[in-house]
Amino acid sequence: MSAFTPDAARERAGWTDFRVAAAERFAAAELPSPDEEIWRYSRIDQLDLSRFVPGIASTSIEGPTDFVSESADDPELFADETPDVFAELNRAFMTPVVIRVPAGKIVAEPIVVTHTISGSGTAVFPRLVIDAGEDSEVTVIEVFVAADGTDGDEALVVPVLQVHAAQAARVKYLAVNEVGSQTWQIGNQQSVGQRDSTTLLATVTLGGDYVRARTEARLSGQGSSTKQVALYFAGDNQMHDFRTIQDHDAPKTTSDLLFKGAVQDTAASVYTGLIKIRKHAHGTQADQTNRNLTLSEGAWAESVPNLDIETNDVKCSHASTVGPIDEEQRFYLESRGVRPEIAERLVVLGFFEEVISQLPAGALADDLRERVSTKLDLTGTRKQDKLTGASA
Amino acid sequence: MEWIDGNIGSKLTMKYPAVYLVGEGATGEVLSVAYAGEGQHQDAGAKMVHAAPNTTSKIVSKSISKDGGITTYRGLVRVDEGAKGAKSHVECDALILDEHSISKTFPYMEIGERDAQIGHEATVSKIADEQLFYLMSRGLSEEQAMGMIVNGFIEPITKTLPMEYAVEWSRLIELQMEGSVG
Repeated sequence: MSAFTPDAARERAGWTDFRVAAAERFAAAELPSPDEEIWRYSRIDQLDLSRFVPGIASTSIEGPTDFVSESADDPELFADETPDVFAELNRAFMTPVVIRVPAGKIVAEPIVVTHTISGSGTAVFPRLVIDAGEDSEVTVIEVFVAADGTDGDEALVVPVLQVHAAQAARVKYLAVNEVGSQTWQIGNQQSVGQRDSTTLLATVTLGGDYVRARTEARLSGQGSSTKQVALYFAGDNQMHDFRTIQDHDAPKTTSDLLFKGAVQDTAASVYTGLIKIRKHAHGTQADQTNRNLTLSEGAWAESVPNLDIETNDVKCSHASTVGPIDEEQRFYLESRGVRPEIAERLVVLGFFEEVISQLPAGALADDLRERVSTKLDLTGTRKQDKLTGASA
Repeated sequence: MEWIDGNIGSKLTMKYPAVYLVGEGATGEVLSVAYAGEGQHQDAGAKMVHAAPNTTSKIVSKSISKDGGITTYRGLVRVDEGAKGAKSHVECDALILDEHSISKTFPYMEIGERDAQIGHEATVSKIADEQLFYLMSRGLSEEQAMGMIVNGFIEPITKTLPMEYAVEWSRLIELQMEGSVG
């Protein structure tokens, strides 16, 4: 019996009925299994909820905080669709942060929301709502990080993101995942764009044991556009798992997606994406690109880019590749006198640069380059060890 | 091993030729054309399992849907651990001839070998107005022009066929296109 009962939900502050109803629905539902297509390849069957109890992440907010509230008065704000039981669980136990940008307002500086997670057996449920009014503009960066010295803690993070972009609103969002090496994260992200709005949903995932994000970007208003970019880099025994949906529900809408990942050691990654173009979405353009680098023997990468198109006035493409570092690029660098391990590094960093340059990360971008580079160093060292071991 | 697959008839087709590449250096190729007209659903594709080193495979799928027909590409490329130097390329293009027709693509890729190069690409579109306009400006009827464009679209596959079959194919497509107004 897990600790995520309606009674436990009742103890949380605010909207008791709302929480209890969600917890009841969760209790009545079954946990998903990899037999379901949307959970295929995942490690969901290894999740043991009884090892966790509801907790709270310590959340700090930096940047222009005028529009941020941590206690929204209206639970209806969270009455979004729940794509799976984890979104339902989040509803029962969530700690909300609501960003409401008034019409016409341009928030120049990014709002940075940082969730620090600590304590073995803790499950946390951050929920971020970005409600951008007509013709407003906002950039939000959400960081999930393990508290200092708690990297080995076994925690569970179940975040939900809701983005609502009203007419002509511009929303940029970046999630940075650097949770502890034993932490599980199962997230849901949803965005809805009204007429002529623009949304960017970006993700950088480096941490965690099993990290999954399901991102659904719906274009509900004519002329709206959305873009999803992600960088993921899994090492050791990590698994990074992404499910994306680009849902074109209005004419003349545009979507683009670029997911680039690397796997090393015995890590695994999954990318499955769907472009859905509904019958009335004429004049639509949708693109989807997934590229994977396999850096070690024993690493796995799955890539399943799907299309479901119900009308003909569209331009739609997807591309997906899985492979090792390009030998010719490596050869070129080596022929210029660059040592093999540095050449490999440069190629990987160059591979990720395409994503990093598109992130709404500002000053954080250099930091992220550094993190990727450090993670590469770790494998570099391991390889070096192997080499010295072999020669000894 | 080369498999050329054409699906024109039947109400519902579900066909996925599978090629297991178990010997070193083996090559598999599936070329498939599907046409779905009114009330038809062509659910076709291919499976390529790379179970040995230096195996290569190629899948080319071209599908056309019209009058509410549904075409689906459903395929799997799997590279087992140890299948070093495996290479695979998948290309699936879909042409949707009217606004009632549907096209879906479900390509699965499961890669367990570092030293494998796998690529997939797909495009879905309608017949470009420019192409249609060009041909009609040369005096072809709309119907003839569309038939010609569709034949050009599947040309990469028909050209691999022996002459007699190729001619038959292109006649068949023309026949299917008859009475269409775009």
